[in-house]
Amino acid sequence: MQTDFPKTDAQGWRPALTLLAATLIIAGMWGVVLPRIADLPTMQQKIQHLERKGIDPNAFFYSDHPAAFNNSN
Amino acid sequence: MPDNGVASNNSPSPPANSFFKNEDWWAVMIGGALLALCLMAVYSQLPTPGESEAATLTSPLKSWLSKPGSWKTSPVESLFPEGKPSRLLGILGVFLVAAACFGHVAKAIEGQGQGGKFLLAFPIIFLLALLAFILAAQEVVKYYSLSYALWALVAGLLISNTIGTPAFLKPAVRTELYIKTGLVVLGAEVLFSKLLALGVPGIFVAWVVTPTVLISTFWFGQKILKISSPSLNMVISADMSVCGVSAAIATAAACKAKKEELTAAIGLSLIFTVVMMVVMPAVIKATGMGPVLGGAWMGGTIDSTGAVGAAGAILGDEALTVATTVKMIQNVLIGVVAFAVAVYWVRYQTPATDGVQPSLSEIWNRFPKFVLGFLAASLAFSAVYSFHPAGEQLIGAMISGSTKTLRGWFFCLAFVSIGLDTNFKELSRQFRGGKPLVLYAVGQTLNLCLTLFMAWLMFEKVFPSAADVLMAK
Repeated sequence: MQTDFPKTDAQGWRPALTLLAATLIIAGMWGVVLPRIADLPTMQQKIQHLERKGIDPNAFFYSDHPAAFNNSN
Repeated sequence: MPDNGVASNNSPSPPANSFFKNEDWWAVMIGGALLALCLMAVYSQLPTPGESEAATLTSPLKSWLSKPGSWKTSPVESLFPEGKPSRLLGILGVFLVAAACFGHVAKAIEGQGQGGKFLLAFPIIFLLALLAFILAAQEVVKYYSLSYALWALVAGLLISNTIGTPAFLKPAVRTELYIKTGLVVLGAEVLFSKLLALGVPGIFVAWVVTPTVLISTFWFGQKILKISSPSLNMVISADMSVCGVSAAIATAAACKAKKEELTAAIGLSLIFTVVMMVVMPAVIKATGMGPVLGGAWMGGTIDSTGAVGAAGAILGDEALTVATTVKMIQNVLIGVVAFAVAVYWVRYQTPATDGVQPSLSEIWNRFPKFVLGFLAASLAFSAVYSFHPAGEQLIGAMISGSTKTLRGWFFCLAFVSIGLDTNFKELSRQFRGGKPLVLYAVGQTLNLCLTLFMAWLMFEKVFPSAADVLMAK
Protein backbone atom coordinates (compact mmCIF):
# COMPACT_ATOMS: atom_id res chain seq x y z
CA MET A 1 0.00 0.00 0.00
CA GLN A 2 1.46 3.31 -1.07
CA THR A 3 0.92 6.20 1.28
CA ASP A 4 1.60 9.91 1.38
CA PHE A 5 3.42 10.12 4.69
CA PRO A 6 4.47 13.66 5.56
CA LYS A 7 8.03 14.57 4.82
CA THR A 8 9.78 16.72 7.40
CA ASP A 9 11.97 19.49 6.04
CA ALA A 10 13.82 20.21 9.27
CA GLN A 11 17.29 18.71 9.62
CA GLY A 12 19.61 17.89 12.53
CA TRP A 13 18.43 17.81 16.11
CA ARG A 14 15.51 20.22 15.72
CA PRO A 15 12.80 17.62 14.95
CA ALA A 16 13.87 15.41 17.85
CA LEU A 17 14.06 18.39 20.21
CA THR A 18 10.58 19.54 19.15
CA LEU A 19 9.18 16.07 19.84
CA LEU A 20 11.00 15.96 23.19
CA ALA A 21 9.62 19.39 24.16
CA ALA A 22 6.07 18.34 23.24
CA THR A 23 6.47 15.12 25.24
CA LEU A 24 7.70 17.08 28.28
CA ILE A 25 4.76 19.48 28.05
CA ILE A 26 2.33 16.55 27.91
CA ALA A 27 4.08 14.85 30.83
CA GLY A 28 3.91 18.08 32.86
CA MET A 29 0.24 18.67 32.09
CA TRP A 30 -0.88 15.11 32.82
CA GLY A 31 1.60 14.49 35.63
CA VAL A 32 1.21 17.72 37.59
CA VAL A 33 -1.42 20.21 36.39
CA LEU A 34 -4.39 17.96 35.66
CA PRO A 35 -4.07 15.88 38.86
CA ARG A 36 -4.15 19.15 40.87
CA ILE A 37 -7.25 20.32 39.04
CA ALA A 38 -8.84 16.91 39.60
CA ASP A 39 -8.25 17.33 43.33
CA LEU A 40 -10.30 20.54 43.52
CA PRO A 41 -13.48 19.88 45.52
CA THR A 42 -15.77 21.42 42.86
CA MET A 43 -14.20 19.28 40.16
CA GLN A 44 -14.48 16.14 42.27
CA GLN A 45 -18.13 16.92 42.92
CA LYS A 46 -18.84 17.19 39.19
CA ILE A 47 -16.89 14.03 38.33
CA GLN A 48 -18.55 11.96 41.06
CA HIS A 49 -21.98 13.22 40.02
CA LEU A 50 -21.46 11.82 36.51
CA GLU A 51 -20.10 8.54 37.86
CA ARG A 52 -23.19 8.13 40.05
CA LYS A 53 -25.44 8.72 37.03
CA GLY A 54 -23.57 6.15 34.91
CA ILE A 55 -22.41 8.75 32.39
CA ASP A 56 -19.11 8.52 30.56
CA PRO A 57 -18.33 12.01 29.21
CA ASN A 58 -15.91 10.40 26.76
CA ALA A 59 -18.66 8.21 25.30
CA PHE A 60 -18.32 7.70 21.59
CA PHE A 61 -21.70 5.98 21.26
CA TYR A 62 -24.67 5.64 23.59
CA SER A 63 -23.54 2.13 24.54
CA ASP A 64 -20.36 3.59 26.08
CA HIS A 65 -22.36 5.09 28.95
CA PRO A 66 -22.12 2.59 31.83
CA ALA A 67 -25.84 3.14 32.43
CA ALA A 68 -26.76 2.06 28.89
CA PHE A 69 -27.03 -1.61 29.83
CA ASN A 70 -27.82 -3.21 33.13
CA ASN A 71 -24.68 -5.31 33.15
CA SER A 72 -22.21 -2.70 32.02
CA ASN A 73 -18.50 -2.34 32.69
CA MET B 1 -2.93 3.92 -6.24
CA PRO B 2 -2.14 6.62 -3.71
CA ASP B 3 -3.98 5.81 -0.58
CA ASN B 4 -4.81 9.15 0.90
CA GLY B 5 -8.45 8.53 1.69
CA VAL B 6 -10.15 7.17 4.75
CA ALA B 7 -11.63 4.60 2.41
CA SER B 8 -9.81 5.22 -0.79
CA ASN B 9 -11.69 3.16 -3.27
CA ASN B 10 -11.57 5.55 -6.18
CA SER B 11 -10.15 2.94 -8.45
CA PRO B 12 -12.22 1.51 -11.25
CA SER B 13 -14.12 -1.67 -10.51
CA PRO B 14 -11.97 -4.40 -9.01
CA PRO B 15 -11.83 -7.73 -10.85
CA ALA B 16 -14.39 -10.28 -9.70
CA ASN B 17 -11.74 -12.67 -8.36
CA SER B 18 -10.33 -10.03 -6.01
CA PHE B 19 -12.55 -10.98 -3.06
CA PHE B 20 -9.62 -12.06 -0.88
CA LYS B 21 -7.59 -9.01 -1.90
CA ASN B 22 -10.36 -6.58 -0.99
CA GLU B 23 -9.93 -4.83 2.35
CA ASP B 24 -13.67 -4.11 2.59
CA TRP B 25 -14.59 -7.78 2.50
CA TRP B 26 -11.84 -8.58 4.99
CA ALA B 27 -13.28 -5.95 7.33
CA VAL B 28 -16.70 -7.58 6.98
CA MET B 29 -15.28 -11.07 7.61
CA ILE B 30 -13.15 -10.09 10.60
CA GLY B 31 -15.83 -7.88 12.11
CA GLY B 32 -18.47 -10.55 11.55
CA ALA B 33 -16.29 -13.31 13.01
CA LEU B 34 -15.48 -11.24 16.10
CA LEU B 35 -19.16 -10.42 16.65
CA ALA B 36 -20.14 -14.07 16.26
CA LEU B 37 -17.46 -15.17 18.74
CA CYS B 38 -18.44 -12.51 21.26
CA LEU B 39 -22.12 -13.45 20.98
CA MET B 40 -21.38 -17.17 21.35
CA ALA B 41 -19.25 -16.48 24.41
CA VAL B 42 -22.16 -14.73 26.14
CA TYR B 43 -24.69 -17.25 24.83
CA SER B 44 -22.70 -20.03 26.51
CA GLN B 45 -23.34 -18.29 29.83
CA LEU B 46 -27.12 -18.19 29.46
CA PRO B 47 -28.65 -19.98 32.43
CA THR B 48 -30.64 -23.10 31.68
CA PRO B 49 -34.28 -23.13 32.86
CA GLY B 50 -34.35 -23.32 36.62
CA GLU B 51 -31.05 -21.54 37.10
CA SER B 52 -30.78 -17.98 38.41
CA GLU B 53 -32.08 -14.98 36.42
CA ALA B 54 -30.38 -13.91 33.21
CA ALA B 55 -30.12 -10.34 34.54
CA THR B 56 -26.66 -11.06 35.91
CA LEU B 57 -25.37 -12.25 32.55
CA THR B 58 -21.80 -11.13 31.78
CA SER B 59 -19.40 -11.88 28.98
CA PRO B 60 -16.69 -14.44 29.87
CA LEU B 61 -14.41 -12.38 27.60
CA LYS B 62 -14.73 -9.29 29.78
CA SER B 63 -11.47 -9.73 31.68
CA TRP B 64 -9.65 -10.78 28.49
CA LEU B 65 -10.57 -7.64 26.53
CA SER B 66 -9.97 -4.34 28.23
CA LYS B 67 -8.75 -0.76 27.90
CA PRO B 68 -7.23 1.66 30.41
CA GLY B 69 -9.63 2.89 33.09
CA SER B 70 -10.05 6.41 34.43
CA TRP B 71 -7.40 7.86 36.75
CA LYS B 72 -6.95 10.92 38.88
CA THR B 73 -3.38 11.47 40.03
CA SER B 74 -1.19 8.77 38.48
CA PRO B 75 -1.54 7.07 35.08
CA VAL B 76 -0.54 3.83 36.77
CA GLU B 77 -4.07 3.75 38.28
CA SER B 78 -5.34 3.46 34.73
CA LEU B 79 -3.72 0.05 34.30
CA PHE B 80 -3.69 -1.11 37.92
CA PRO B 81 -6.88 0.25 39.53
CA GLU B 82 -6.95 0.19 43.31
CA GLY B 83 -8.88 -2.77 44.68
CA LYS B 84 -9.64 -4.14 41.20
CA PRO B 85 -7.84 -6.62 38.96
CA SER B 86 -5.11 -5.30 36.68
CA ARG B 87 -6.22 -4.30 33.20
CA LEU B 88 -2.96 -5.45 31.61
CA LEU B 89 -4.23 -8.93 30.78
CA GLY B 90 -7.25 -7.51 28.96
CA ILE B 91 -5.08 -5.03 27.04
CA LEU B 92 -2.72 -7.82 26.06
CA GLY B 93 -5.76 -9.82 24.94
CA VAL B 94 -6.90 -7.01 22.62
CA PHE B 95 -3.36 -6.69 21.29
CA LEU B 96 -3.19 -10.38 20.41
CA VAL B 97 -6.64 -10.39 18.78
CA ALA B 98 -5.88 -7.24 16.74
CA ALA B 99 -2.38 -8.36 15.74
CA ALA B 100 -3.66 -11.78 14.63
CA CYS B 101 -6.62 -10.41 12.65
CA PHE B 102 -4.95 -7.44 10.97
CA GLY B 103 -1.64 -9.29 10.47
CA HIS B 104 -3.55 -12.01 8.66
CA VAL B 105 -5.22 -9.43 6.39
CA ALA B 106 -1.87 -7.78 5.60
CA LYS B 107 -0.50 -11.19 4.65
CA ALA B 108 -3.56 -12.15 2.61
CA ILE B 109 -3.67 -8.89 0.67
CA GLU B 110 0.00 -8.11 0.23
CA GLY B 111 1.84 -11.38 0.71
CA GLN B 112 3.79 -13.24 3.39
CA GLY B 113 6.49 -10.57 3.74
CA GLN B 114 4.01 -7.82 4.52
CA GLY B 115 2.44 -9.91 7.29
CA GLY B 116 5.81 -10.10 9.05
CA LYS B 117 6.50 -6.40 8.55
CA PHE B 118 3.06 -5.60 9.91
CA LEU B 119 3.70 -7.61 13.06
CA LEU B 120 7.01 -5.80 13.63
CA ALA B 121 5.36 -2.36 13.38
CA PHE B 122 2.02 -3.07 15.03
CA PRO B 123 3.23 -3.09 18.68
CA ILE B 124 4.36 0.55 18.34
CA ILE B 125 1.02 1.65 16.83
CA PHE B 126 -0.74 -0.23 19.63
CA LEU B 127 1.42 1.45 22.28
CA LEU B 128 0.55 4.87 20.84
CA ALA B 129 -3.14 3.93 20.98
CA LEU B 130 -2.64 2.82 24.61
CA LEU B 131 -1.04 6.19 25.37
CA ALA B 132 -4.04 7.97 23.78
CA PHE B 133 -6.46 5.98 25.94
CA ILE B 134 -4.45 6.78 29.08
CA LEU B 135 -4.35 10.52 28.27
CA ALA B 136 -8.11 10.55 27.63
CA ALA B 137 -8.85 8.64 30.83
CA GLN B 138 -7.54 11.36 33.18
CA GLU B 139 -10.60 12.50 35.15
CA VAL B 140 -10.47 16.19 34.16
CA VAL B 141 -9.76 15.45 30.49
CA LYS B 142 -12.56 12.90 30.54
CA TYR B 143 -15.00 15.33 32.17
CA TYR B 144 -14.57 17.75 29.26
CA SER B 145 -15.22 15.01 26.68
CA LEU B 146 -11.72 15.24 25.16
CA SER B 147 -11.78 11.66 23.98
CA TYR B 148 -9.10 9.24 22.80
CA ALA B 149 -9.69 10.26 19.16
CA LEU B 150 -8.08 13.64 19.84
CA TRP B 151 -5.07 12.23 21.73
CA ALA B 152 -4.49 9.46 19.19
CA LEU B 153 -4.41 12.08 16.43
CA VAL B 154 -2.08 14.29 18.50
CA ALA B 155 0.30 11.39 19.22
CA GLY B 156 0.52 10.46 15.54
CA LEU B 157 0.75 14.07 14.31
CA LEU B 158 3.55 14.88 16.75
CA ILE B 159 5.68 12.04 15.44
CA SER B 160 4.92 12.48 11.75
CA ASN B 161 5.45 16.23 11.77
CA THR B 162 8.65 16.27 13.83
CA ILE B 163 10.94 13.29 13.33
CA GLY B 164 8.74 11.82 10.58
CA THR B 165 7.01 8.46 10.62
CA PRO B 166 9.75 5.80 10.64
CA ALA B 167 9.67 3.59 7.54
CA PHE B 168 9.38 0.40 9.58
CA LEU B 169 6.07 1.62 11.10
CA LYS B 170 4.36 2.18 7.77
CA PRO B 171 3.13 -1.41 7.17
CA ALA B 172 0.94 -1.12 10.28
CA VAL B 173 -0.44 2.33 9.44
CA ARG B 174 -3.70 0.96 8.03
CA THR B 175 -6.35 3.56 8.71
CA GLU B 176 -8.97 2.11 6.36
CA LEU B 177 -8.75 -1.43 7.65
CA TYR B 178 -9.04 -0.38 11.30
CA ILE B 179 -11.94 2.01 10.60
CA LYS B 180 -13.91 -0.41 8.42
CA THR B 181 -13.50 -3.30 10.87
CA GLY B 182 -14.43 -1.01 13.77
CA LEU B 183 -17.55 0.09 11.93
CA VAL B 184 -18.68 -3.48 11.24
CA VAL B 185 -18.24 -4.26 14.96
CA LEU B 186 -20.06 -1.01 15.86
CA GLY B 187 -22.98 -2.24 13.73
CA ALA B 188 -24.00 -4.57 16.58
CA GLU B 189 -24.59 -1.51 18.78
CA VAL B 190 -26.92 0.17 16.27
CA LEU B 191 -30.09 -1.40 17.65
CA PHE B 192 -33.24 -0.31 15.85
CA SER B 193 -35.53 -1.00 18.79
CA LYS B 194 -33.82 1.92 20.57
CA LEU B 195 -35.60 4.16 18.05
CA LEU B 196 -38.85 3.85 19.93
CA ALA B 197 -37.41 4.68 23.36
CA LEU B 198 -39.08 8.10 23.32
CA GLY B 199 -41.93 7.27 20.96
CA VAL B 200 -42.97 9.60 18.13
CA PRO B 201 -41.53 12.84 19.58
CA GLY B 202 -38.07 11.31 19.87
CA ILE B 203 -38.20 10.18 16.25
CA PHE B 204 -39.28 13.64 15.12
CA VAL B 205 -36.51 15.39 17.03
CA ALA B 206 -33.76 12.95 16.07
CA TRP B 207 -34.83 11.53 12.71
CA VAL B 208 -36.63 14.44 11.04
CA VAL B 209 -34.49 17.37 12.11
CA THR B 210 -31.16 15.55 11.75
CA PRO B 211 -31.45 14.56 8.06
CA THR B 212 -32.95 17.96 7.27
CA VAL B 213 -29.96 19.71 8.82
CA LEU B 214 -27.51 17.28 7.20
CA ILE B 215 -28.88 17.82 3.70
CA SER B 216 -29.32 21.60 4.14
CA THR B 217 -25.77 22.02 5.45
CA PHE B 218 -24.30 19.94 2.63
CA TRP B 219 -26.31 21.98 0.09
CA PHE B 220 -25.22 25.24 1.73
CA GLY B 221 -21.56 24.18 1.60
CA GLN B 222 -21.76 23.20 -2.06
CA LYS B 223 -24.01 25.90 -3.48
CA ILE B 224 -23.37 28.95 -1.30
CA LEU B 225 -19.91 28.49 0.20
CA LYS B 226 -18.76 26.50 -2.84
CA ILE B 227 -16.46 24.27 -0.79
CA SER B 228 -14.19 22.58 -3.30
CA SER B 229 -14.21 19.18 -1.61
CA PRO B 230 -17.70 17.60 -1.41
CA SER B 231 -16.35 14.91 0.93
CA LEU B 232 -15.06 17.50 3.44
CA ASN B 233 -18.44 19.21 3.20
CA MET B 234 -20.26 15.93 3.84
CA VAL B 235 -18.09 14.82 6.78
CA ILE B 236 -18.49 18.18 8.56
CA SER B 237 -22.25 18.17 7.88
CA ALA B 238 -22.69 14.62 9.25
CA ASP B 239 -20.36 15.17 12.19
CA MET B 240 -22.27 18.32 13.20
CA SER B 241 -25.81 17.09 12.57
CA VAL B 242 -25.70 13.41 13.61
CA CYS B 243 -23.43 12.39 16.46
CA GLY B 244 -19.92 13.77 16.29
CA VAL B 245 -16.87 11.57 15.85
CA SER B 246 -18.77 8.31 15.25
CA ALA B 247 -20.80 9.86 12.42
CA ALA B 248 -17.70 11.54 11.02
CA ILE B 249 -15.88 8.20 10.83
CA ALA B 250 -18.84 6.41 9.23
CA THR B 251 -19.51 9.07 6.58
CA ALA B 252 -15.81 9.69 5.89
CA ALA B 253 -15.42 6.00 5.11
CA ALA B 254 -18.63 5.94 3.07
CA CYS B 255 -17.71 8.96 0.92
CA LYS B 256 -13.99 8.21 0.71
CA ALA B 257 -12.93 11.44 2.38
CA LYS B 258 -9.26 12.26 2.79
CA LYS B 259 -7.66 11.66 6.18
CA GLU B 260 -7.02 15.38 6.59
CA GLU B 261 -10.71 16.06 5.99
CA LEU B 262 -11.75 13.66 8.73
CA THR B 263 -9.18 15.20 11.08
CA ALA B 264 -10.43 18.72 10.29
CA ALA B 265 -14.07 17.73 10.89
CA ILE B 266 -13.25 16.05 14.20
CA GLY B 267 -11.18 19.04 15.32
CA LEU B 268 -14.09 21.42 14.66
CA SER B 269 -16.53 19.11 16.38
CA LEU B 270 -14.39 18.72 19.51
CA ILE B 271 -13.96 22.47 19.91
CA PHE B 272 -17.68 23.23 19.49
CA THR B 273 -18.63 20.29 21.72
CA VAL B 274 -16.66 21.64 24.68
CA VAL B 275 -18.17 25.11 24.19
CA MET B 276 -21.74 23.82 23.79
CA MET B 277 -21.61 21.44 26.76
CA VAL B 278 -20.74 24.38 29.00
CA VAL B 279 -22.87 27.11 27.39
CA MET B 280 -26.11 25.22 26.65
CA PRO B 281 -26.98 24.17 30.23
CA ALA B 282 -26.28 27.76 31.32
CA VAL B 283 -28.58 29.17 28.60
CA ILE B 284 -31.31 26.65 29.45
CA LYS B 285 -31.11 27.56 33.14
CA ALA B 286 -31.02 31.30 32.42
CA THR B 287 -34.06 31.21 30.14
CA GLY B 288 -36.07 29.04 32.52
CA MET B 289 -36.56 26.37 29.87
CA GLY B 290 -37.98 23.13 31.28
CA PRO B 291 -35.73 20.09 31.74
CA VAL B 292 -37.55 18.04 29.11
CA LEU B 293 -37.34 20.70 26.41
CA GLY B 294 -33.79 21.58 27.43
CA GLY B 295 -32.73 17.93 27.49
CA ALA B 296 -34.22 17.24 24.06
CA TRP B 297 -32.57 20.38 22.67
CA MET B 298 -29.13 19.37 23.96
CA GLY B 299 -29.56 15.73 22.92
CA GLY B 300 -30.35 16.78 19.38
CA THR B 301 -27.62 19.38 18.97
CA ILE B 302 -24.46 18.66 21.00
CA ASP B 303 -22.27 16.52 18.72
CA SER B 304 -20.59 14.16 21.14
CA THR B 305 -22.63 11.44 22.83
CA GLY B 306 -20.52 11.72 25.98
CA ALA B 307 -20.87 15.49 26.18
CA VAL B 308 -24.66 15.19 25.91
CA GLY B 309 -24.62 13.07 29.08
CA ALA B 310 -22.31 15.48 30.88
CA ALA B 311 -24.40 18.53 29.91
CA GLY B 312 -27.69 16.76 30.70
CA ALA B 313 -26.47 15.80 34.17
CA ILE B 314 -25.95 19.49 35.00
CA LEU B 315 -29.70 20.07 34.59
CA GLY B 316 -30.92 17.10 36.62
CA ASP B 317 -32.28 13.59 36.13
CA GLU B 318 -35.13 14.42 33.80
CA ALA B 319 -32.99 16.48 31.41
CA LEU B 320 -30.28 13.83 31.55
CA THR B 321 -32.66 11.00 30.66
CA VAL B 322 -34.32 12.90 27.81
CA ALA B 323 -30.99 14.22 26.44
CA THR B 324 -29.26 10.83 26.40
CA THR B 325 -32.33 9.11 24.96
CA VAL B 326 -32.62 11.63 22.09
CA LYS B 327 -28.90 11.18 21.44
CA MET B 328 -29.25 7.40 21.49
CA ILE B 329 -32.02 7.59 18.88
CA GLN B 330 -29.79 9.87 16.81
CA ASN B 331 -26.89 7.40 17.20
CA VAL B 332 -29.00 4.73 15.53
CA LEU B 333 -29.27 7.03 12.50
CA ILE B 334 -25.60 6.59 11.59
CA GLY B 335 -26.22 3.23 9.87
CA VAL B 336 -28.82 4.79 7.59
CA VAL B 337 -26.69 7.89 7.00
CA ALA B 338 -23.60 5.84 6.12
CA PHE B 339 -25.60 3.71 3.69
CA ALA B 340 -27.32 6.72 2.07
CA VAL B 341 -24.05 8.63 1.74
CA ALA B 342 -22.30 5.60 0.19
CA VAL B 343 -25.11 5.16 -2.36
CA TYR B 344 -25.22 8.90 -3.14
CA TRP B 345 -21.45 9.04 -3.54
CA VAL B 346 -21.05 6.13 -5.93
CA ARG B 347 -24.07 7.29 -7.95
CA TYR B 348 -23.66 11.06 -8.08
CA GLN B 349 -20.24 12.10 -6.80
CA THR B 350 -17.96 9.63 -8.54
CA PRO B 351 -16.95 11.18 -11.88
CA ALA B 352 -18.67 9.60 -14.88
CA THR B 353 -16.38 7.91 -17.39
CA ASP B 354 -16.56 9.60 -20.82
CA GLY B 355 -19.69 11.42 -19.74
CA VAL B 356 -21.57 8.14 -19.28
CA GLN B 357 -23.25 7.58 -15.92
CA PRO B 358 -22.14 4.36 -14.15
CA SER B 359 -24.22 1.24 -14.71
CA LEU B 360 -25.74 -0.71 -11.81
CA SER B 361 -22.89 -3.23 -11.86
CA GLU B 362 -20.38 -0.40 -11.83
CA ILE B 363 -22.19 1.17 -8.87
CA TRP B 364 -22.02 -2.18 -7.07
CA ASN B 365 -18.31 -2.51 -7.80
CA ARG B 366 -17.61 0.98 -6.49
CA PHE B 367 -19.83 0.60 -3.45
CA PRO B 368 -17.88 0.39 -0.16
CA LYS B 369 -18.80 -3.17 0.85
CA PHE B 370 -18.00 -2.74 4.52
CA VAL B 371 -21.14 -0.57 4.75
CA LEU B 372 -23.13 -3.72 3.97
CA GLY B 373 -21.38 -5.51 6.83
CA PHE B 374 -22.17 -2.59 9.12
CA LEU B 375 -25.87 -2.68 8.17
CA ALA B 376 -26.07 -6.48 8.28
CA ALA B 377 -24.61 -6.49 11.81
CA SER B 378 -27.08 -3.82 12.85
CA LEU B 379 -30.09 -5.71 11.48
CA ALA B 380 -28.95 -9.10 12.81
CA PHE B 381 -28.23 -7.88 16.34
CA SER B 382 -31.36 -5.72 16.39
CA ALA B 383 -33.33 -8.89 15.60
CA VAL B 384 -31.62 -10.88 18.38
CA TYR B 385 -32.14 -7.98 20.81
CA SER B 386 -35.85 -7.74 19.99
CA PHE B 387 -36.92 -11.33 19.38
CA HIS B 388 -34.74 -13.58 21.58
CA PRO B 389 -36.33 -14.09 25.01
CA ALA B 390 -33.08 -12.98 26.69
CA GLY B 391 -32.08 -10.65 23.83
CA GLU B 392 -31.61 -7.52 25.94
CA GLN B 393 -29.33 -9.26 28.42
CA LEU B 394 -27.45 -11.16 25.72
CA ILE B 395 -26.68 -8.15 23.56
CA GLY B 396 -26.10 -5.88 26.56
CA ALA B 397 -23.55 -8.28 28.04
CA MET B 398 -21.90 -8.84 24.67
CA ILE B 399 -21.51 -5.13 23.95
CA SER B 400 -20.45 -4.01 27.42
CA GLY B 401 -18.15 -6.98 28.00
CA SER B 402 -16.42 -7.28 24.64
CA THR B 403 -17.44 -5.59 21.39
CA LYS B 404 -17.41 -1.96 22.53
CA THR B 405 -13.88 -2.48 23.85
CA LEU B 406 -12.74 -3.96 20.53
CA ARG B 407 -14.25 -1.26 18.33
CA GLY B 408 -12.85 1.43 20.66
CA TRP B 409 -9.35 0.03 20.13
CA PHE B 410 -9.86 -0.33 16.37
CA PHE B 411 -10.93 3.31 16.06
CA CYS B 412 -8.06 4.42 18.29
CA LEU B 413 -5.59 2.53 16.07
CA ALA B 414 -7.18 4.28 13.09
CA PHE B 415 -6.72 7.72 14.63
CA VAL B 416 -3.08 6.99 15.47
CA SER B 417 -2.63 5.93 11.85
CA ILE B 418 -4.30 9.10 10.55
CA GLY B 419 -1.98 11.19 12.72
CA LEU B 420 1.08 9.31 11.48
CA ASP B 421 -0.04 9.88 7.91
CA THR B 422 -1.08 13.54 8.09
CA ASN B 423 0.88 16.64 7.31
CA PHE B 424 0.16 19.81 9.29
CA LYS B 425 0.49 21.86 6.08
CA GLU B 426 -2.10 19.69 4.35
CA LEU B 427 -4.32 19.86 7.42
CA SER B 428 -4.13 23.65 7.63
CA ARG B 429 -5.04 23.81 3.92
CA GLN B 430 -8.45 22.38 4.86
CA PHE B 431 -9.20 25.47 6.92
CA ARG B 432 -7.95 27.99 4.36
CA GLY B 433 -10.48 30.76 3.77
CA GLY B 434 -12.38 29.72 6.89
CA LYS B 435 -15.10 27.99 4.88
CA PRO B 436 -15.26 24.81 7.03
CA LEU B 437 -15.68 26.98 10.13
CA VAL B 438 -18.46 29.02 8.49
CA LEU B 439 -20.11 25.78 7.31
CA TYR B 440 -20.03 24.34 10.82
CA ALA B 441 -21.29 27.57 12.43
CA VAL B 442 -24.16 28.04 9.96
CA GLY B 443 -25.15 24.36 10.08
CA GLN B 444 -25.07 24.29 13.87
CA THR B 445 -27.16 27.47 14.06
CA LEU B 446 -29.78 25.87 11.83
CA ASN B 447 -29.56 22.71 13.95
CA LEU B 448 -30.08 24.69 17.18
CA CYS B 449 -33.12 26.55 15.78
CA LEU B 450 -34.83 23.56 14.13
CA THR B 451 -34.20 21.20 17.05
CA LEU B 452 -35.52 23.73 19.56
CA PHE B 453 -38.65 24.28 17.48
CA MET B 454 -39.27 20.56 16.97
CA ALA B 455 -38.58 19.73 20.64
CA TRP B 456 -40.97 22.50 21.76
CA LEU B 457 -43.65 21.32 19.30
CA MET B 458 -43.32 17.65 20.21
CA PHE B 459 -42.63 17.73 23.96
CA GLU B 460 -44.65 20.79 24.97
CA LYS B 461 -47.55 20.95 22.51
CA VAL B 462 -48.29 17.62 20.80
CA PHE B 463 -47.03 14.99 23.30
CA PRO B 464 -46.58 16.80 26.63
CA SER B 465 -46.54 13.53 28.60
CA ALA B 466 -43.96 11.71 26.43
CA ALA B 467 -41.10 12.27 28.86
CA ASP B 468 -43.22 11.16 31.84
CA VAL B 469 -43.60 7.73 30.24
CA LEU B 470 -39.84 7.55 29.79
CA MET B 471 -39.13 8.64 33.38
CA ALA B 472 -41.59 6.09 34.74
CA LYS B 473 -39.65 3.20 33.11
